[in-house]
Amino acid sequence: MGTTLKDQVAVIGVGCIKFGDNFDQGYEEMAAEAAYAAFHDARIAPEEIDAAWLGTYSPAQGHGKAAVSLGDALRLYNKPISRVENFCATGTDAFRHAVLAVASGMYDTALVLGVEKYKDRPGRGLAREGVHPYYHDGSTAPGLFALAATRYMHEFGLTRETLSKVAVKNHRNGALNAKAHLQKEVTPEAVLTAPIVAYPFGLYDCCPTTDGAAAAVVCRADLAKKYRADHILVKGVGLSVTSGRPFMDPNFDYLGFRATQNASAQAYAMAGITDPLKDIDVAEVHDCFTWTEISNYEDLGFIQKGEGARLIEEGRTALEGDIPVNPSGGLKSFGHPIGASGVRMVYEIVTQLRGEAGPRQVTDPKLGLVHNVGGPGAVSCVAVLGQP
Amino acid sequence: MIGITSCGYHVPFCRLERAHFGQAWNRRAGKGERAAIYFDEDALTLGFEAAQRCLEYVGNKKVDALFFASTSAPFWQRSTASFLAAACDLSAACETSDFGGSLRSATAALRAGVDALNSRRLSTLLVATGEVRDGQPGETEEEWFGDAGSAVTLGRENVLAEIMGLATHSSAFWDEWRRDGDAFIQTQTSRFSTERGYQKSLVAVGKSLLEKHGVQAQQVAQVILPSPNGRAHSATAKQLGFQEAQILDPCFGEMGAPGSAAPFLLLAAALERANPGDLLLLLNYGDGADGVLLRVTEEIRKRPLSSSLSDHLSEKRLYASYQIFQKMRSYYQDHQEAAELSNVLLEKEESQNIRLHGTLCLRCGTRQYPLTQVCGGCKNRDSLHEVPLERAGHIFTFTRDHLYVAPDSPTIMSVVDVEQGGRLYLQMTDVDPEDVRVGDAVVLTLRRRKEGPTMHNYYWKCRPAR
Repeated sequence: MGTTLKDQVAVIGVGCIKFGDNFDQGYEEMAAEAAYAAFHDARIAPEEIDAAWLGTYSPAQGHGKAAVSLGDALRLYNKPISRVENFCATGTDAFRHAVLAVASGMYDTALVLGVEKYKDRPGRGLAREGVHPYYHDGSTAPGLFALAATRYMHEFGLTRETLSKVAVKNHRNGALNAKAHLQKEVTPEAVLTAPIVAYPFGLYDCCPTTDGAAAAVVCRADLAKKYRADHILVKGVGLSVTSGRPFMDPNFDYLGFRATQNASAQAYAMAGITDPLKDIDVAEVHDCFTWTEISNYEDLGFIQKGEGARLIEEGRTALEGDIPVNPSGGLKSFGHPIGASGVRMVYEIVTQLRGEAGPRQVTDPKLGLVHNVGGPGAVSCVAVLGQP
Repeated sequence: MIGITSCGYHVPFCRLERAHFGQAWNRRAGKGERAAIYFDEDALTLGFEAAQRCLEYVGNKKVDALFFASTSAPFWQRSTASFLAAACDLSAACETSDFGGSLRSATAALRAGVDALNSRRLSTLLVATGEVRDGQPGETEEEWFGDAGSAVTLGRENVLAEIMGLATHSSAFWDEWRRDGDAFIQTQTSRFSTERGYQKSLVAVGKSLLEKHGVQAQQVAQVILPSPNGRAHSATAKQLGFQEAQILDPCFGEMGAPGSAAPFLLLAAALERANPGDLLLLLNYGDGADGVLLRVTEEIRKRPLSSSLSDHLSEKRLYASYQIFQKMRSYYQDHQEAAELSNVLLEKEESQNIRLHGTLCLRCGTRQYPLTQVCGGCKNRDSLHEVPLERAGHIFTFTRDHLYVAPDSPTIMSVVDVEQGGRLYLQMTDVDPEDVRVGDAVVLTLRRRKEGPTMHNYYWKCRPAR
């Protein structure tokens, strides 16, 4: 593949609103709050932005599927703005597009904005657009991931008890995070006795339905100092798209996600990472369901396939572990407004790398990872961020 | 020799104990259970299940006609037979006809089929039936009726039971009927109806058939009579000179009276216990009566019984209440929120969605579903071949989904690897959700699916192999 973009693009500002049941905020209010927080953080004026990418799975109502949901929210007109939609990798992929555009030299600065407003529309995870009337009838987001969890548990003997530890860890982290949707610790018993949503996932194995918005401002690395001395550099990005019908692929083993394996391999190659477990100091990974986080450990190369449970059982992915995963609380307790999530993860890793994460700060991180997977397993986007 | 070459039946997995009708309507109820459809079943799907059983023996290559008989076909205008022919993956040259309007529709189809075989116009005929029987809520018929499907194939080769003779008798008697627009069957059931309708017609046709062929009642091994109430068949058979031991149990206590599905279902049960040379007398009532005299052949020895009707009936789930029974019968009528399907999509995708065809890559051997333009295994685009997929397989993985909105949660979603290759993603039906395991053997079955306000919609599900 082509050249690397390592160290060519800097993240100079990030912003994230309080995620949750934001009954008093509409799509545009959330979008503007997040974008202006990022502008403020980057010490940049909105008119200095050359281009923008909007990551949104469900655009503002009445705005169709174009990029106008961003333009109208910020009154940012006559700029090149594109909307990105790539299942649950939407936010990270929007970030990736902005990074590629700045690295290409086409633009000096770019805004990435992820927004979703779900609490004013009927049940996410149920009726979806663009699905085949027969092949997808009966599928829900938890149900689709549960297919993989069931097979994985059958193959490797993973138990619901181990899954529950992921929920307990991420709720514990979320309880330390004032912007998280669910700021409450849970006990293993509560996780195991909660009503089943889609076996083997109970209520606490699933991320909630959440409103939220997050933004990041990126610029040419050689211009970054003009805005902030403590900017963060993009070390690598990767995107992989595999089958959106894994359940019809007779060659799929259902034990993990090839998209994550491929996307992370691309990003690691750019970043020069050869031993992810050792090289990466903090990771925000896609824990839409508890099992997904365990599979991610393996698909991201932290540990061999089938052994991911060890990392959670041994506490190595806890805040104080050697590879802290989801210090923000993850999708599990921070919430998962689809297009906002990836950008929110960039916000968290930048905050951690700056040492500004407060009670959830991990010790002295140099290199951080952002990862989304959706589809399930159809798309994955990975970004590696690090100190200059 | 023209005769029955295979039989099949399908009684819904779900039943309601008759005691629940008594509780619901505050009256005495009968003993036993009635067979009751699940929300995804109708006369067409019941007929399909039964037809598939026949095709397991006969195969679908030789079948040159499919007749469907029912008084409760899902469409007033649209051929159930033609749709079933597609679902059975029969050729478009196949002759299809629909029979209805009377409880004699199954034997009327059989009479027409025998004529077509005699005239050499047809060689192998599949006659399928399916009934969903709705009595007036609160009336006795509601608990007496049952739902079921049945099928036979008729032909000249590998005949199990030769058709020796047919007789028919017409009557304009008012017994039970359904006017255009009636949701429930109207009846004037009474001792009068039983004696002047049921008994009179059946005795007349039975007598004439036996006399015509010079057969005495005691020479007949089994007399087969669908029963409207669990009693009348016995009295009628005795009037024809039969002893109790000759009278086939119509399984009224286990399933109720499944209308047009009853004659072939009970014929199949009779053949399960028949010996070569046995004479069987099948009598069927409805606006008159039909009679069929059959002689069992040596071929019966070549069909080892894998399971009997009583095995089939013992696999069941009992609905917990009358309300659930009712909800299952009207669910799709009450929930029409799905988008209407385009007939363009339905036509374009018929081979994969209804005929269950997939793509076989001749280069790498991968079978895949749905039809594909590029092989998912080896990426080649030039050696792809459309093939029928097998309709049985194993569960690769599954979930019990409580989030999906369904009349009976959780919905089992399963990934099924079919025999010889191909993977499908299917809802599972006719199963206790807690009983599903990775690796379970399943068969594919056509069931009602979400539908808009103007159509009935069918697609595949899987169920445990039984």
